[in-house]
Amino acid sequence: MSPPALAQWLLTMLVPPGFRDALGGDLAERYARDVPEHGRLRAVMRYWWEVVRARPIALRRSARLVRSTEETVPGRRRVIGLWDDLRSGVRRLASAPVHSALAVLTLAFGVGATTAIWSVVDGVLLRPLPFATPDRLVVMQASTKSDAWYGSSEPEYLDLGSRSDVFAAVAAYTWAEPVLGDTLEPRRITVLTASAELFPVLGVAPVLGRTYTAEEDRRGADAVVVISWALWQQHFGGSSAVLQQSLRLNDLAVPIIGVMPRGFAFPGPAVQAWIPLRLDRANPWARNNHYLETIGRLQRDMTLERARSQLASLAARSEITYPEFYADGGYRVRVRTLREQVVGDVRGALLVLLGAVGLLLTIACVNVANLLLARGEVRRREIAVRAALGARSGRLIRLVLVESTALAVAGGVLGVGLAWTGVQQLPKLAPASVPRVEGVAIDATVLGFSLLLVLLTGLAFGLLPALTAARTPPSDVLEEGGAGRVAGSRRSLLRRGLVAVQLALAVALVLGAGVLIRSFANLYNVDAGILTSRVLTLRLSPSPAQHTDNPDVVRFHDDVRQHIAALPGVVGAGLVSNLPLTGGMNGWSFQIEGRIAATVGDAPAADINQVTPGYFEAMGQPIIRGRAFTAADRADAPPVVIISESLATKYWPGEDPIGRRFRVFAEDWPFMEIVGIVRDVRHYGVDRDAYPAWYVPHAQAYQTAYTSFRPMTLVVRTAAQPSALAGTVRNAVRALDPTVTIENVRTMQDVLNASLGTRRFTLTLIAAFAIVALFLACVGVYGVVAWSVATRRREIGVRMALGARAASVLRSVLGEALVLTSAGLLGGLLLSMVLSAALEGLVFGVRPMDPLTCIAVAVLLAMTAVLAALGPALRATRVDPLAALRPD
Amino acid sequence: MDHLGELEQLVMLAVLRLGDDAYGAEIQRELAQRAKRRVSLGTVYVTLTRLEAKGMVRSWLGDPTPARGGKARRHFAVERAGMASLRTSREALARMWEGLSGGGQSASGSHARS
Repeated sequence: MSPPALAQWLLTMLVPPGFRDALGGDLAERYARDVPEHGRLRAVMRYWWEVVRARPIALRRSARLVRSTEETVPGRRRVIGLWDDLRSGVRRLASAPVHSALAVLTLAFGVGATTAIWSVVDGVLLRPLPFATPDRLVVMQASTKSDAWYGSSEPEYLDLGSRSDVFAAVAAYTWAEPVLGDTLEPRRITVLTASAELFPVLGVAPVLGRTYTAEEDRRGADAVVVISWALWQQHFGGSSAVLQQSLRLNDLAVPIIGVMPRGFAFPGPAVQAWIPLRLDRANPWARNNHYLETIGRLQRDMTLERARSQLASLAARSEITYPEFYADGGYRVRVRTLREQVVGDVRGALLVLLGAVGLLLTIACVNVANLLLARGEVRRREIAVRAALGARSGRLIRLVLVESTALAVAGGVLGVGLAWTGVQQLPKLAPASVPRVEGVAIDATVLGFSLLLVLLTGLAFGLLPALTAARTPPSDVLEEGGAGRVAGSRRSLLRRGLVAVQLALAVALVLGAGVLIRSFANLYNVDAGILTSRVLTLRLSPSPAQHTDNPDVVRFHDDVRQHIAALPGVVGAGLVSNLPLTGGMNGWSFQIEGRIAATVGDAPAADINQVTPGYFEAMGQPIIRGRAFTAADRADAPPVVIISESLATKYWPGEDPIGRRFRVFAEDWPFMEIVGIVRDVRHYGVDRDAYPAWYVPHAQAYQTAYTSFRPMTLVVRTAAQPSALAGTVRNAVRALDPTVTIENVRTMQDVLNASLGTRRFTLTLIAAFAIVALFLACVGVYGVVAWSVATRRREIGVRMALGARAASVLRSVLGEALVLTSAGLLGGLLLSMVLSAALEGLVFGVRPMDPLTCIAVAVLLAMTAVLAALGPALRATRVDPLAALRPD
Repeated sequence: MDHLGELEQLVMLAVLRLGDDAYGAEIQRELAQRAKRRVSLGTVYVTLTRLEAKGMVRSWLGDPTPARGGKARRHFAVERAGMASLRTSREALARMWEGLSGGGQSASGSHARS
């Protein structure tokens, strides 16, 4: 049980040899007594307290009185001197706790926020993708009719793959969501059916077993599966015997042949397994079914530009060779790097965040600079006195430097803690739309950079007053009414300039936040075409074993609808195949009666959705003309269809489409009669346009539109809070069929919020920065006004003695603050104009330099500045003229 | 004769009270408990060393003990000169307090009898 080694060593350094035994021994003895009595922590604290108050200089002096002079090693002397300075520096900082705390917190926040945000940006945008030479990986997309890009068809994929001059290999894939067997509750997993080229293209080897070969990827071959690390751990407990086992998918046992390494996630972390695509390469599916995603690895010396031009000519040739598919809209191929595909959507938002945090760091440093300059002012006298008493300028500088370094170090250490917390928490707060957050870690470079910046600021601005003070002859400072007028005005300009800069930066941040807030509010006010309040949604996947054919599935969904609609608290219920705001609709071609198109290339196409009766009412999607579906629209009833407004105006302009007919673009399928027109829905997001769509009754779909979809999403409109009914609805569905998989239970409001996830994330962070920036600017204004009042006490005293009233003094002080604020505001608006281009992609329904928001920011700033200046201004009015005029 | 400062008096009185047990840590504890004066050990030693230089106390090294990490204890005792100074200081205080009630005002007007 010996005292802390560091404290002991320090004691040895500080205490002269004659006292070491006595003092050190006493402390050791007391420590040994304290530990059992008061616990180890208190004992350690008491020990340290004594070390800190050891009074080495006094001990040395008293020792010299008693015994002969003791030799102090120069190094030891330096340590004692430094220790003494450090102690007095810390004491001085503690004597102005608000000031010091503010400086430390400002620096900490600057360092912490900058590092955390940068680490996220680095992890998401800059970090290379975890594949072999990832910049050689490209993604191809096709577009044939509209301005939307989608996947390729099987023949198109085969065409791409045949271009060995461009690609080393091309892989194709699509998603499936089979039900995983052998689990307590049936659940679906996301599986990628991918061609065998996928693994060579990505260049990642399995950690166990192997990946599948081209042989296993032929049509008719038995399925095999490669599983993810996570699935291996969760479902098989990481057992090494997994290669002898199979995965039960949709009641089929698929042998496992390999396990991918930890962290391998293609195309995203949701995918748990990979199965061969098994295309019939000799007889590929129709050229107009664009359902395959493609990814390729460019040949070694192929550049992106050359690849693009090569594929453009490929597309042009295909247009000529297959006019029946491409006549109407042509065929375009888009080639992007994989990185662009993965992070392209969030890049804008993340870069804006980075800019914002950079502004914040600058504000933080400027604030600290100002605080340190202010402290420097206060200590000019003390430094002058010390200089007059013979202190060397080196010693004086060290005195001041130690204090500001202590501040900077404290801020830096706290900042590191904040950065670490931020990097842990930010990925959790980030919405699902921000990719790659799993791998985010603290970026040591940025941490080092911001720490260095903070330290330099502390040193530079702590040093400045010390240097000027050390160079000023003490007589100037000590003289009555002195304070170096000329140097004072230069200093005053510097301080005011710094505050103006702070204000300008804060304005830029606040304006940015304001514009984003307005955009966000606009988005929530957009009419999406549906009513999102009081709606509960659940995704239902009936087990294929329980419901083998289409009529079965239809019956099950109908049962669910009727049962749920009858529950207390439920206003209405229905099911839909693609829930709005969750993306991913299928676009199919159709044939209008009387306007037969020769080829599918000429035929119209639009997004299709399958719904049950009760859906439109439950979703609050109004029927504009005609009727909604009813229970009478069964499989054996006449086929019907409902179209959206924009589909009506697009293909039946100026006429009433009710009663007209069309069918899917395939022979032998019946014509459906249009019985209703429904309001457009912004299906892909409230900030995107609505696309034309057609709705087919789920009960009839397998007779009129290829198949009745599953899974379907149950939509329930509730009388009260939707989340309150979630449990009841779940149980009711379970009661009908215990084997059905129920997922994604959330309210429509949640769905809306999730679709706006990235925006909300960006907005929250920038708003937080703006608030901090405004606060810091406020502090800056307060500081500079208070200092101005303090240095002009005499002048104010004279004015008041000469008859000036309190009101005029108040006016003049506040006026000074407003002048400063105006300068800052002007600078800030100019800065915002320069930066507004960065916000272009993020705003909605408002311009980046929106005049209304600018005015609001100006008013806010003025009010804040007046508030900050009020304290010192009032104090100025209470200056006692006699006291002010008295000689110092 | 040297006059004693307040802390010097308190420290010497503590040494007297502690008798054989008068060493740094114990003196510090006695000051804290009885006189309600919290001072650092460093201060105690500074004071004792100054007193020793003035001849008021004397010190000697005791035996090292394992509880002290093998370090020797320095004991203190008050010398005759120290006792004399203590008495002088006490008498001076008593004379100044004479005639004053607890609140500090003279019992018989603003002039105190000498």
